[in-house]
Amino acid sequence: MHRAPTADHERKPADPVPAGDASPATGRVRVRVVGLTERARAALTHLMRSRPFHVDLIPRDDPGDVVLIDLDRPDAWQTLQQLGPTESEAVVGLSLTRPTEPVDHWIRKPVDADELLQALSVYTPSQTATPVRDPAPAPAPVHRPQPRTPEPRVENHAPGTEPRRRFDRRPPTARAAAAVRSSVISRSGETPVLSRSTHSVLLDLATDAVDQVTGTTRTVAIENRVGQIVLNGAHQTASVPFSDSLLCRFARDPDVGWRLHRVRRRQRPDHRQPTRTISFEQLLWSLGVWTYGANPPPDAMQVAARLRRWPDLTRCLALPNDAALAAAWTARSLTPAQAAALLQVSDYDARTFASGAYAAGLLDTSATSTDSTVPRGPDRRRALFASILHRIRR
Amino acid sequence: MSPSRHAREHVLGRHGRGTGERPASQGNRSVSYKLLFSGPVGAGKTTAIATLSDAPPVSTDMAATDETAHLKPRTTVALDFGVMRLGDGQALHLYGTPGQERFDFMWEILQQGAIGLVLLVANTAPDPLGQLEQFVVAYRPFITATSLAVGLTHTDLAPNPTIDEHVAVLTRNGVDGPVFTVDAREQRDVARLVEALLFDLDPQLSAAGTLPTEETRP
Repeated sequence: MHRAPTADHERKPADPVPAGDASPATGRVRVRVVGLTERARAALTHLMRSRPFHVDLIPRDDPGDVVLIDLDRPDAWQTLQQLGPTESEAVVGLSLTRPTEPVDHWIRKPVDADELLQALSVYTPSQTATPVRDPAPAPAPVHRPQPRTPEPRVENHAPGTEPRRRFDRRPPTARAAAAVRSSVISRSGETPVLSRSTHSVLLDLATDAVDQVTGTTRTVAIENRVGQIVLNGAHQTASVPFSDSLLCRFARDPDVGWRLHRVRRRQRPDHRQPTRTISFEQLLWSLGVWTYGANPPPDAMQVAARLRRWPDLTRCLALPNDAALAAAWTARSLTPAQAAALLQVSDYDARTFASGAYAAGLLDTSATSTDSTVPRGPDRRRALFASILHRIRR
Repeated sequence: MSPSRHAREHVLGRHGRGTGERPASQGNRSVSYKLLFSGPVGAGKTTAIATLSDAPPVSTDMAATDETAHLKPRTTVALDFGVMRLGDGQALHLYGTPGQERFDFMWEILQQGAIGLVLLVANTAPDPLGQLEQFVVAYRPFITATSLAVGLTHTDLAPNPTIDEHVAVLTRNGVDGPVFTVDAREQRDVARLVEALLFDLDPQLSAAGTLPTEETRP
């Protein structure tokens, strides 16, 4: 193979920065991307925006700091040899299984965004030695097989403060997409034009949502009525038939059926895969919970609203006290604070529920003035009901 | 007492008909309540009761001889009966009605004293919305007095009609309640439906009102 396992993981100094580049050399890593689709490149670029270092995706024939390659491509190794990465370039390979030949850093698919970013950050010149501006050939790099130790997760809370509750430990893709979320699910129905990278981030979000819905695997395929979405794994390059208008229509119509396939490692002989249909409401609900957490938008936070109907609680991401909140919220218009006070549940739970309901399009603020339903009072059989609840939760 | 006799006596109102409460015997302070499962043929009522019942359910299945035979070989002709033991001598009896309209006299009998109605509708039926409306109309006085939870089954085979369309049927008929996607074979799904029914009856029932679903929590 072109590169032998080496004794040290330290990065060689980066190539000289082009003179025309006004950006400082530190904190910038130039990545040659090989075998990834335009969509994957766009998603990668989007994910890098909020990072403390910059990633430049450069043409595959230009020398850079890192060669990022999809090793599952049939011609991956031949391509790598043809490219002839310089000694100062690290090779980061993505594949489903451990590569047959060593690379500087291997990342198993499906790729965790945080893991990829950590890997790239290792090769950021600012984190290694001072960039060498001498064009003379550098000595052979010294590399060691990198142990795949788990990288520390990014914490959302400031040092010395209590971590926020569980929904703040959102997947990195969900956090990255928070900025675009509100523009996608527009209550007015007017969805602005979405960039390609936004689409990609949405797909990541969809993957996370499906992951949470199934609770078992991130290797999934989603199929909707207009085509097929295949995410992760070896199928990462498949096309995705999302369009702005379609997404907008989905957002307004939460009952578009989706068929979800759990992709098993070993296919059944008859090639039948167990399927489970989820609705777009489920997806939006999960996105709302992850994106807004306990801080729903002002529309859902300050204005008394009513649920148009119960959420599909057997399929939506379960939240604490969701059944009680749904029952109260379908009966009368409430703000999250009022719901929490009425039911004597935590304000956090009520706000998180409001986030999911808002994203799923179930909150109806116009119902305030036409609230005519008389909410039920305490039932005399409350003790019995509590016993039944206790029994069915067992 | 055999389970079938137990069920029959309760259904026929020998003890506390119309209240749903039945002192089992003198000296025994056990009290039972009733929850009704209804819906068209093939919706999963028998399966749902079996999913929740602590004891093997009693079913009055007979070989189907009418158009039901196209759907399944056997069908409920009188009732299904299961029981959830609640502790402290309390029990919740689970009753399932026959799905065929010609047995609708059993619907009236079985709804006496029930705390609420779980209505299951198969989305694979030729006209699930029409079936939902038929049962809502049949049970409307009972639903108005108690509560309703609707479970849509077989949605993996037929995603449509949507939940919103089913809710529209309820609204058109002056009733409301939770409408969930349900797999009658999944205890969690059926339990969630019953849970929603209880909270619909009394939203302030409990501050700890969510079933444990660790696998779906973030």
